Amino acid sequence: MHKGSMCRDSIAEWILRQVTSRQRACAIVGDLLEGEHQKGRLWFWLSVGRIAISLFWRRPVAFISALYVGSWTLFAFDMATHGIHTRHRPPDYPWGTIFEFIGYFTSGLCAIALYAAIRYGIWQRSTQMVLIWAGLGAAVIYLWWQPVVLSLCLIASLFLVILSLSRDKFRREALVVLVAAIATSGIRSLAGFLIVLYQHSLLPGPWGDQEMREHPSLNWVAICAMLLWLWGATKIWSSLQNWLERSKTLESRPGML
Amino acid sequence: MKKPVSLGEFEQVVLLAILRLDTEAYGVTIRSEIARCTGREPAPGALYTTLDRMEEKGVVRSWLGEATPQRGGRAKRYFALTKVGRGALVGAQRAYRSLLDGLDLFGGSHA
Repeated sequence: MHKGSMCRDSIAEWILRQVTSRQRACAIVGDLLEGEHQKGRLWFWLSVGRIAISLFWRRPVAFISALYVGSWTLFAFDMATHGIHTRHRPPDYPWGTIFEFIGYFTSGLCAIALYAAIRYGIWQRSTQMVLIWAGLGAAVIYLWWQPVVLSLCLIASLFLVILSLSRDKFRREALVVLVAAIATSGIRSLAGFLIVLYQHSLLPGPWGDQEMREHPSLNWVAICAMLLWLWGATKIWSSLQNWLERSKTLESRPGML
Repeated sequence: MKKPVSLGEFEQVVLLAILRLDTEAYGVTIRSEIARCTGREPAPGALYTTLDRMEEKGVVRSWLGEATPQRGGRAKRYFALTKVGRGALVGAQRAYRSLLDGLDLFGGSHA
């Protein structure tokens, strides 16, 4: 095969890899190469373009939705743990840190859940699982002071954990959700650390409204950190989906059934 | 009871093509089979998004097959109907058949 045509195939594959998984992109380019022998090079590139466009819309829509939900839940859960909880909790309330921890994980899960639902569809088991965990986390944060809701959430969580550990078909998806939740929280911590680092480089010590007005660049750094967090979270979810797909494809070969 | 999966018109066309091709159903052959039977070649974008969507819905499953030099060493992605897919297709075709019942569409006054 020509070196030039190999390079061209790789470019086509790279374009399609931006909108679908590596395996699917590879198979689609293979199909188009078969057709190219009869229909020509122009048809090949037009088909690459048409396929890319028809598969493309999901990704940006999913990312923008995740960005909106991620940033909204980030503040909403923070307000909830420091607002609703303060009104309802007793003076010797020892669970504040735990709820902050749950809020920290859940805001990332909410963003991932929406991204997964739009980009990969709600039919996927991993999407359903992350949606359930995000819902349970949000219910605990907002309604922890209602014993019935809290008990139901705890029972549902326990049931999900047992199901994930005992059934083969749920184990991999549960692992994907766990890895995504930990990695997303890790990236969020890194993003937060970068903001604090920049803030200290501008002005060490406590900040108030006046300092914020004097240094508007901090807002831009915070926006960039938010984008970094959600870009990292969605990238990790996509990579984990590719891994899931690879292992499922191997299993669904006729000989493996 | 589990809610049955609903299928669009093009999804049914693709599923029927996969059934007709049996173990030889991959992108190129599915397109040719649809073109041969319907007289219209489906747009590549529409075909691959439909196949992706149906795989997400659990209607079809796919696996990677052999790679050929003609394909630049790339593996073929074969498709087959799942049990859910076959059930959904039978349900959809049954609905068409009951709508056709009593009509002489292929030779009578409706032709």
